Amino acid sequence: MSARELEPQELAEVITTVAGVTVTARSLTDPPTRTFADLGLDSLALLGVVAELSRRYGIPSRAEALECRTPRDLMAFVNDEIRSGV
Amino acid sequence: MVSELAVTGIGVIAPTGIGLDAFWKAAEQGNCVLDRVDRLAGTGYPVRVAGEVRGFDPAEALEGRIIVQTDLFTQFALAAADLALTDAGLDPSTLDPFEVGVVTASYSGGVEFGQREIQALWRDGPDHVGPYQSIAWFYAASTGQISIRRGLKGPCGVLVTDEAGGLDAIAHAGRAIRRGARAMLVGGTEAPLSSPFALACQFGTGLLSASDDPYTAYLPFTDAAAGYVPAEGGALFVLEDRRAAEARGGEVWGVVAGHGTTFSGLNRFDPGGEGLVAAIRAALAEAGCAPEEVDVVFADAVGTRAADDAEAAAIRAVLGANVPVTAPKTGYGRGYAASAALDVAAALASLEHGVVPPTPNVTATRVDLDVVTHLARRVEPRSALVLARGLGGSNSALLLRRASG
Repeated sequence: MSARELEPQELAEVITTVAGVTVTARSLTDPPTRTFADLGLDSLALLGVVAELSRRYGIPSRAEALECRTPRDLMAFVNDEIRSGV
Repeated sequence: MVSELAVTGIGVIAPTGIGLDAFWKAAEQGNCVLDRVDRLAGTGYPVRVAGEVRGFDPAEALEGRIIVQTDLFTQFALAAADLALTDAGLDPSTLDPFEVGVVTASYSGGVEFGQREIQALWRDGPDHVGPYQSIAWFYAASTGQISIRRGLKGPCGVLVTDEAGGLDAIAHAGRAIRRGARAMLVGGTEAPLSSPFALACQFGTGLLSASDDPYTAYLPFTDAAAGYVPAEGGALFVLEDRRAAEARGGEVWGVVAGHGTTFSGLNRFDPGGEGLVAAIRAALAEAGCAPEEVDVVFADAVGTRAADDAEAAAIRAVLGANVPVTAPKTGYGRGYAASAALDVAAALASLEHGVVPPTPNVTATRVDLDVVTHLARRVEPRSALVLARGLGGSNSALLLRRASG
């Protein structure tokens, strides 16, 4: 597993490519309470985003990742998984 | 009590143009846009000529969020639905969402999308299949996406009866109006040119033209008939009860007066034309239309000797040999459910403009029918009959009447 952490810029790129919703790194967490739904992502879109992140980082607890409601929560969750895997 | 079933909006995405005006102008002039298509060469099948929609940019018509989750056949449907609603001057959000529904027909479905995801599954494993595979490649995708996009919660349906589906969908939507729906979006789209999987489903029938000459590849009703040329695109319509449409100030393109459909055997075209005869009779009966009142026939025009003979025999048996018959699709291809929908669009424009468009590239016919060739003919038709058959054995006829008497 990679020791590299998931940064907002990379998540923004994944969302733009996988979900077809153009977002900036800043818009993901400003305000910090911004949800995926606010950004126009439904549950299928989130499924695609998490699958792509899993391919890049390996996320053992994908079902839990899918419960994240905000980009901020998802980044924290993924980075926890990355650190615990090191 | 429903007065009449009125078509109040037409949205066309055709190889000959986007929007009814461009499509009709090309049909009236008998333009041929069939061409050798690069995408087909990549499929490995010996099919070279097709009717390709070249003026359509999904990114212009739709949001990126929608594009990643849809096949091209659904993108055509969404764009055609927008065009149809604009043409109808109808904003469905002003209506009760439970009174507006959607019916679409497709024969090919989202095969290009499906092929891409199945290749990912085979090559890289299940983790590499995108979540939108669960919705994008199914026949129902277009109806579902239109209803979601427009918030329509009324009666919805999907029909798969090959080319006949484009007509059957309109009849199905008509029944929804009679049961109380306020308005229906209805039509058919196809995107069958982009993948080997799509071509495999069509090529096995032995009905596709293998010619590489766009001007002689698709010549139904002639000695040179060698199959049909596939096409993509489609059309959607807004269907309303005529009185309700006129009460809101909507303009009526024409009236859906009658429909008939029959089934005459799996995996072959209606042998002898008996199934088509019964469908035509049923459509005329529902419309209360005498055979001599049919002013023009938009033919299915499969382009094989047996299927052309059967269709010609059916037309002669019910309507005689003197009714003008046309097949504008020889200029842009036969696109399954999309083709029937495009024929309905052409027929409505024909009634509106008083002109029967010609059958491009077809000159000397070998059938005893009055096929309109070379130039459009001014005949001021008051009623038009559209015919469509499906390889699965379905035969359908739809009778349309001019809006003004």
